[in-house]
Amino acid sequence: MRFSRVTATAFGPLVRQTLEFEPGLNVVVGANESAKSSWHAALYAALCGRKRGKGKPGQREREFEARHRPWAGDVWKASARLVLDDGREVEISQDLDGKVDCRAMEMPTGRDISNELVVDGSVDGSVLVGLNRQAFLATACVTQTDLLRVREDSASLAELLGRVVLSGGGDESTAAALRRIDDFRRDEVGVDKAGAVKPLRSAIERTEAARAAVKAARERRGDFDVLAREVERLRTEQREADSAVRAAHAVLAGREADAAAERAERAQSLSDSLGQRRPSLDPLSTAVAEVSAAITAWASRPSVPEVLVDSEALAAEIELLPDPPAHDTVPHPSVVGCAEDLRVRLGVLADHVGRPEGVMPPPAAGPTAQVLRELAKEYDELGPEPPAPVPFSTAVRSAPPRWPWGLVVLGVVGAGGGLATAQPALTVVGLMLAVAGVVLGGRRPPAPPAATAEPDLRPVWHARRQELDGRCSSIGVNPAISALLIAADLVDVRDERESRHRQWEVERQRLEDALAEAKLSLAQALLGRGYPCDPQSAPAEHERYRRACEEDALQQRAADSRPDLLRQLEQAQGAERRRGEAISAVALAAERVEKAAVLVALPARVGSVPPDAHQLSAALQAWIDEQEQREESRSRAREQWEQFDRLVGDDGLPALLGQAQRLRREADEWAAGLAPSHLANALEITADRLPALEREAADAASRADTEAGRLEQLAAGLPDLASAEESLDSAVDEHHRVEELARVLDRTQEFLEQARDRVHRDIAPALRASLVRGLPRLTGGRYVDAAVDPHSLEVKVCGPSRDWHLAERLSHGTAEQVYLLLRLSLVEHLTGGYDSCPLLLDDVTVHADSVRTEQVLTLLADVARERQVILFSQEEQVRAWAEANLGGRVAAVHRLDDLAGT
Amino acid sequence: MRLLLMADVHLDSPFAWAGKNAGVARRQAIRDALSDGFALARAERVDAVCLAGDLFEHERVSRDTGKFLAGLFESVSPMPVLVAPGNHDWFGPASLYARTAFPGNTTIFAEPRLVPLTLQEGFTVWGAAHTGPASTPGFLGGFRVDRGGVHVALFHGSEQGSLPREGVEKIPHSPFTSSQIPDSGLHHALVGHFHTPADATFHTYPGNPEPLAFGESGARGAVIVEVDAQGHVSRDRRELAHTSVSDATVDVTGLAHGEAVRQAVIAELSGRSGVVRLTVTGELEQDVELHPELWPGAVPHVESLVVRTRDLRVAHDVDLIQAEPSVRGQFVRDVLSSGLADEMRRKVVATGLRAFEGRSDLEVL
Repeated sequence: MRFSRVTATAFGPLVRQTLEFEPGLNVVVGANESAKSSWHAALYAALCGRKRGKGKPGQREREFEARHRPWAGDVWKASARLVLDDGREVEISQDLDGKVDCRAMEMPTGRDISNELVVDGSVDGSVLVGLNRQAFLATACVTQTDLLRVREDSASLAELLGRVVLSGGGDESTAAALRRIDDFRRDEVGVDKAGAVKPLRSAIERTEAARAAVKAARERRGDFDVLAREVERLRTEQREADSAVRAAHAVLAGREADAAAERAERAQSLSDSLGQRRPSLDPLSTAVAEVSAAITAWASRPSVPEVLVDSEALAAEIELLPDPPAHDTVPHPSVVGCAEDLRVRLGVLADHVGRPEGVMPPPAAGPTAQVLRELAKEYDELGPEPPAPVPFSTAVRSAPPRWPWGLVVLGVVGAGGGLATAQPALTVVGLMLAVAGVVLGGRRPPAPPAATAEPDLRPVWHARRQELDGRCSSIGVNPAISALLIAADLVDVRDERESRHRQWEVERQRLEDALAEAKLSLAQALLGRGYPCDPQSAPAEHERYRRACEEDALQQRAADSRPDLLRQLEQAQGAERRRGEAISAVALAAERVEKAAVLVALPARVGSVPPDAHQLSAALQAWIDEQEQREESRSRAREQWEQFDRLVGDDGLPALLGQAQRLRREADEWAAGLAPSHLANALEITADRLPALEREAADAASRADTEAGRLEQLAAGLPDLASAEESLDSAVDEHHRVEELARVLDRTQEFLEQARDRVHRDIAPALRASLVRGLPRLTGGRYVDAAVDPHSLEVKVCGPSRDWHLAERLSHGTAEQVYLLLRLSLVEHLTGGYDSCPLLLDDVTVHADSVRTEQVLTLLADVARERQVILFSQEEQVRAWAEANLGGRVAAVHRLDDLAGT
Repeated sequence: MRLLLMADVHLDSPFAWAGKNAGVARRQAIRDALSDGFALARAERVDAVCLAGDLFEHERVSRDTGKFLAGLFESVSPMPVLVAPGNHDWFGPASLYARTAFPGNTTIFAEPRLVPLTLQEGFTVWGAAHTGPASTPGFLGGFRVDRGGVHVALFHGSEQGSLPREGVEKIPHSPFTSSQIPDSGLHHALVGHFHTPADATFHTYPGNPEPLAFGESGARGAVIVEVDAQGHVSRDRRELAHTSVSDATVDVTGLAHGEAVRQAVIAELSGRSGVVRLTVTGELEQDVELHPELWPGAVPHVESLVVRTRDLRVAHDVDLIQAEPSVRGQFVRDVLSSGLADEMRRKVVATGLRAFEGRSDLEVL
């Protein structure tokens, strides 16, 4: 497809101007402000038209409109005549303002083919080459702006490539679309993490908060239900307690009602039996009192006592009574003690004298026992007379003589015993036996002289013997040892008897001294009692004193009877006085009885004689008994009336009957509605239990009220669950909406990335091939190879040295050339299979140096062999090159200056 | 004997479906409908008001509602008000019924069995209560009236023959069959639970007086039930609803811009009131920007507007686009050939194309 002409009916500065083109390279040359860009835009607009206004136009479109709306205010229109590759011609007329009067007609038939070319509501001729107005603009329609952007923007060529081509001609590149989705997702969805404020997190938080609010509200409701059940339970307890109280009241009131009914019945019965008249309440009459008093006085009259002692005789007897004695009436203890002491001492002395002991000592004293025993000892030591000295060989030893010592000892003991017991016979026998023993011992034949060889000791012995014998003789004792010893023992016996006698004497003397002392004491005691005497006559005086005491004792006893007699006298006088009084009282009582009898008019006589007081009293008692019987009858009546009064009280029988009925009603009211079990449980109730039951009921009520109060508070604070649930539903809906949006955005993003990757993979080799074909010639052999990243579409180029460079890092001119080459490659790639797509280029060499400009022009000339190229330029070099190289039927040079005014 | 029957009022019910901030108004509408029902009872001088359950929702009911009900019952005193609690307003210690001081003309059946109440000599109402939110057995099983005269039952239950109409989601609380009514000696049963009104031979469902959901049909509200001496029943239905719940549809095909759509919505909703569920359908031109959040302001006569767009299609020329040898064409081809659900596919295509177009409204309704 190619343009054969374009008409700007009203387009920017152009008004009704037409520009015709050749099939190949058309170079439209004009100076600045010669409307080159307007013609370039008019070509695009005449071919593609404008998207019919649905919604707000995009920025590029707004810019397009601002730049190319007719300056003169005419209707914005442009048209073009197209020649398809098969030779058909199509006339497209675009109403760029209203976008309504847009049509496409096949020429020369005039067939309207608009519907076949409508895109976004208006005719789009780019459909004929397999594009749409966006894609055509992005690929085949290259403006200065695009080139400037390449130079001014450091963004990659890939980005530009993606935007203008791979998005399908949309306003945004795929990357931008993805970024937009990202941005939108960030703003309208956000992430779910703490602190995030975007919708997703907000929706989650709102949902959680709403869910928590609903949960809390339901829990509060649950708490409320639980508490309500507890209150109900407590109320049940309270009702039970109240029922117990009511039952107790009912039972107690029932009892009271029963009692009241019983009282009423009793009162009614009493009322029926007593009649209307009440007995007199007056006390017994005065006469009865008088009679009773008289009877009482008579009955309590004293008895008249008998008088047994004559007070006068007794007074005389008292007159004769002696006075009490002046001396002792009984022996004074001091005297008695002394007399007794004297009596005892006399007895002791008499007894001592009557039993004398020992013997009187002889007038001259003999040898002492010690002297005798020393002599005996010395004799014993002297021994027998020594024998005459004899030769030793003839000496005969003979046995020594043996004395009859047992006989001697027996005699001495017997004699001693006789002395000791004062039995002379025994003493004599003892002495005889002792002497016989000694004699027998002395008659034994002397022992034969012992043969000795020693010197003769006999002279010495004899001398000694004589000396001893002399001494014995001097004291008159037998020189025999045994005799000496017996004599010594006898002397001992005698000494002992003498000693005992001396002791007896000493005791006797002491007793006599004591006796004298006792007599003296007695005399002194008697003197103390008024009986002086000497000690020797004290015993006799004592006897006299004792007898005087006995006489005084008799006088004392007589004197002592005086108080008793005086008391007897007083008693006798009292008895005589009481007797008189009793006689008077009896008389008085009799007088009262008589008066009482007169008072009650008892018969004046009993038989033929007047009655005595006893009879009168009996008669009066009978009268009293009669009166009391009458009174008892009245009293019983009064008691019944009193009982009646107590029963009915102050209000009377009707009130009592009413009270009974009222109490019954009260009991019935208490019992009303109660279960039989409650009443049965209360049957045994007592009134004292009632306070406890009422306390229990009050406690139960208090507990129930307390919990009910809590329930009320809880009820007052119950949240609005319906609103909470609605809030939750709303929050959930919002959450779901955001989640759904997130899912849509995520899936969109996935599909976009997937599509981008796939397209990039497909287009990258084609672009590379196209680039490699044109790159050496376009860059003068400086770059010979190219590579296109299928993911990022980054373009790298390299020279013969194979040093790869990012295209965007190349110089601006080179980058523009690469970019132009990419455009050509894309057009080739995207329009494959359709009509050839013309290229509309506006000042694409403006920044190239002369060499590169020529290279570009050469390239375009090559391209123009396959598709129409319309190049607008202001450059002289281009014009010159065109004029030098173009011409004929396939290429042309157009001077816009020449077109001015057409 | 003339009775006014209402049921399934559902005071304090949530109304999330009715749109944002619509709940309060909807709940007020329910109160108004109920108030109108009691006003009707006064005006018609019926002998009693019978409420066959689900008067409120136990979990959500407020004390204010309790006082409202007490005042309402008082307003018809001494006319008896008979209440048979249902599965939503089940009777229990925590129930509003147990916590509210109702006037003396109120009888709340509190036992899960039919209990007699003699309204007048020879006319007995047998009432029963649900005492829990679920598992309440049928009240008529083994039941038999024990006295002469005319007998009417009042309870909340599921007539088995009506279940298919109510849908599978309706739980058959306290089920019964229509034949159980005459078999038990009852002349008629005044029942609640099914929101669809039903005037059967032996039972009457009045239906909810105020709409509770979209799609409710049939004249609903209060029923004045007249029972003659032989137990024959005649019914007079009176609508009480203060608001309507309706569906509307706007086809946006061919509408060039958002304002055109908005005007179409205004035109469609003209003359409507209450809660409207608006379904936006058709093909939406790709450049048209929808702003449904602005539509309620354009139809102030509509109480609440719920917009559905799931059938909306965006009118990109996908056939043309997918022919493009570009990323965009490849994208459309890939999405259309994917296994995505239709809704997701529609949204992904529209979102991607809008992104290519540089639009800011990437969220597709």
